[in-house]
Amino acid sequence: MGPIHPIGLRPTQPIHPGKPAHTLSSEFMDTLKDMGIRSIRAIRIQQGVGTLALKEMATFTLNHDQKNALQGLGLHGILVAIFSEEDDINGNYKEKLKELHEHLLGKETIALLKNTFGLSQTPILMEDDNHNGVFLLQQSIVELSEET
Amino acid sequence: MNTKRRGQDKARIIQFADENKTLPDGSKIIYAENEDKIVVYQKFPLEKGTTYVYDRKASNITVNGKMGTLQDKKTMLRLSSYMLQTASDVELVTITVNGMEG
Repeated sequence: MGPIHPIGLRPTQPIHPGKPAHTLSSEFMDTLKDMGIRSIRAIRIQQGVGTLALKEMATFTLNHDQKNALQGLGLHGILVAIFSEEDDINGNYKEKLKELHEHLLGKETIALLKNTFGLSQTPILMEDDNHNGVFLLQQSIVELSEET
Repeated sequence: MNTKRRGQDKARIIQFADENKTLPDGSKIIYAENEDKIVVYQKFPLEKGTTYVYDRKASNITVNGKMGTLQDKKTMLRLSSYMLQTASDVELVTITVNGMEG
């Protein structure tokens, strides 16, 4: 999978709906710039009950056309972190990564990572295939069933 | 289906993509696991959350840090099943925690 570049995820593969979005294509990055998106911290695009819900960071907003454009790119269920060049130069992307995790995961999940799994440092997060997640959940239910 | 082994990752988290989404009973639930533990967290509005941690090797369970009982295991099983039954695939997000950032 490779390390995450502080500017963003490695732009090597195109985005496909429904697949884990570990990387961003250069075409997508260019599209964002064409849309006038210069400095953003996070986009989380999720499918929900027939509509596309867009989660936005406080420092970043999308207008209606930009949202439609992203939807037109087929971006669903993607967890993406994009830092501005300014963040990289200032070296404060780590702090912003922490803020990002809290915003995207929620405080309860961050607390679980720290308190239960002992992950005290800022973890690297990747969105995985939901089918894999559901499969693991099913396996765990079987495992718990055997213990009860 | 991508069936990555658990051991490659620090943890896996499965939760609703929309943080405001709740189960039909009104509670918020988060599932997490790694090689050693299965974790289910449930929280009702305005109440303190409950964290169930099942130790895979020791086969015991703790609830909010205190040793739990067989009944707690059954509750954990019930909550996991409840989440699986009531959440559709597209409502969930699965996050892999697989490293540390500096």
